[in-house]
Amino acid sequence: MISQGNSNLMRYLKQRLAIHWLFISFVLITIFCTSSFAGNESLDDELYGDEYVKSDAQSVSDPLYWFNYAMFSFNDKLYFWVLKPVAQGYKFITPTKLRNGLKNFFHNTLFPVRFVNNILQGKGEQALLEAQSFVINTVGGGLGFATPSDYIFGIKSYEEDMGQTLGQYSLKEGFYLVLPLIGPSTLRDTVGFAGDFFLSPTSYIESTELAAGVGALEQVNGVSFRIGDYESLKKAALDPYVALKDAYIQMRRKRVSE
Amino acid sequence: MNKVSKNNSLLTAFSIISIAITLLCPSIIISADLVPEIELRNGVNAIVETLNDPALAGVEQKEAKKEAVFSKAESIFDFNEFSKGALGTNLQRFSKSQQTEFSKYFARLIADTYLAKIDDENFKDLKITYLKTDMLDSTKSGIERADIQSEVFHNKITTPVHYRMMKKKGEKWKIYDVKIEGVSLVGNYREQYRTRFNDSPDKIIKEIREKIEK
Repeated sequence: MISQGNSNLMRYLKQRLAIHWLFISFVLITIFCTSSFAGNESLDDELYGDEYVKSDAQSVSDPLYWFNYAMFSFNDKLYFWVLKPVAQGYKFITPTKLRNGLKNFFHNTLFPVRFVNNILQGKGEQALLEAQSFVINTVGGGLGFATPSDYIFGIKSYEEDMGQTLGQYSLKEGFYLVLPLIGPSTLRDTVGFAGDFFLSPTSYIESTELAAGVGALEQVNGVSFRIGDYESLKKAALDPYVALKDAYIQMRRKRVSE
Repeated sequence: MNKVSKNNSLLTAFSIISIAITLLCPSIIISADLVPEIELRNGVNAIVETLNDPALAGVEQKEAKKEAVFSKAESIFDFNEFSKGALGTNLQRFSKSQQTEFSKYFARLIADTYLAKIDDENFKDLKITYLKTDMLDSTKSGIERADIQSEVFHNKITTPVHYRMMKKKGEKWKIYDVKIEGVSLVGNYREQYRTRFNDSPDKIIKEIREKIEK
């Protein structure tokens, strides 16, 4: 399943690496050229007049608005027409225990992403705890289907990814980007996402069909736990596009600050 | 009464007072910090209890339940401040009556969407842990403020929920913003209204009214 020394794979990785570097140079250019698009909103009411809401109001620029809006609409349709009905059907026929186990399993496979990024952010202790969890869950939890690390040892998981690492290195978001299938992102997080791709074991599955199948299962299983979240965000929003963009930016900024 | 015993009784009185002060003072300081959290707990518990009230269960009770939950929410949420924060700089263009009208619909929108979401089978085993209270600087006009961190555990997922609370003179502690997973509710609406400076207040009110009537 996982190939080593395969020349096709090497060529593929080299291509990927080239794209990766293209992105990084793109980021650097963006950082130098666009300092900050944030409007200086003067808040007269002092209740919110601290750094708390002010920093949230400093929005990330959206020069690719039309592309992003098209992708937002695409993802929206994809969710309501495909993902949601499939996830609902899947949830109906799949026992909760199995869905939970799969969620844990996929979380366990992404250990390299968390481990490397914790180290890159200088969070050695968290990296060590992640490593302990990985060993405990892989051995004692049947490849990670169960999480004895949590319910026996009480070890928390530290979700760190490359986007957060780059953010911690004081790299700004660049601009807003909506990716097909994946959803809201920024230039920085997209670069991070590409970096994390190399650290995800599922990226090294050789057969395209199998890789697509595993990816789809991971996605559908994940969505089966979150049915209704997107709906309520959309229902509460006056402008769902802006609401989703702002929620994503606020959430990522908090994660980077942690 | 001789001089010594007079001195002694003064000393006793003095020591009793000073002991009383030393005993009372820390408890006053601690309780001042605890008050917002206690009021938040009570307010949130009242909402959750109403949601789980067996007397209000069933489809035919849906509207009654919604009203009951909304009145409980109103006593802990300051929807007027929510709506002011959401409008941001647009607020200047709203007259007092327009502001009141907007606030009324905005409260409904929040209650309908977020509280309705909690009223779900998945939320029956809701577990809330209050982690920490930070007292923030008061505003220039003397409104006290606090930041309360909590965690909500449901459906095997832990979600960090932070509350911003404030206390105007002579009033109760009330919530003026909620941050779910780092996303400020007020901040999110403020961002949506940020670019709406060309729309008249009436248009903005009409839009939100139509949204809740849908």
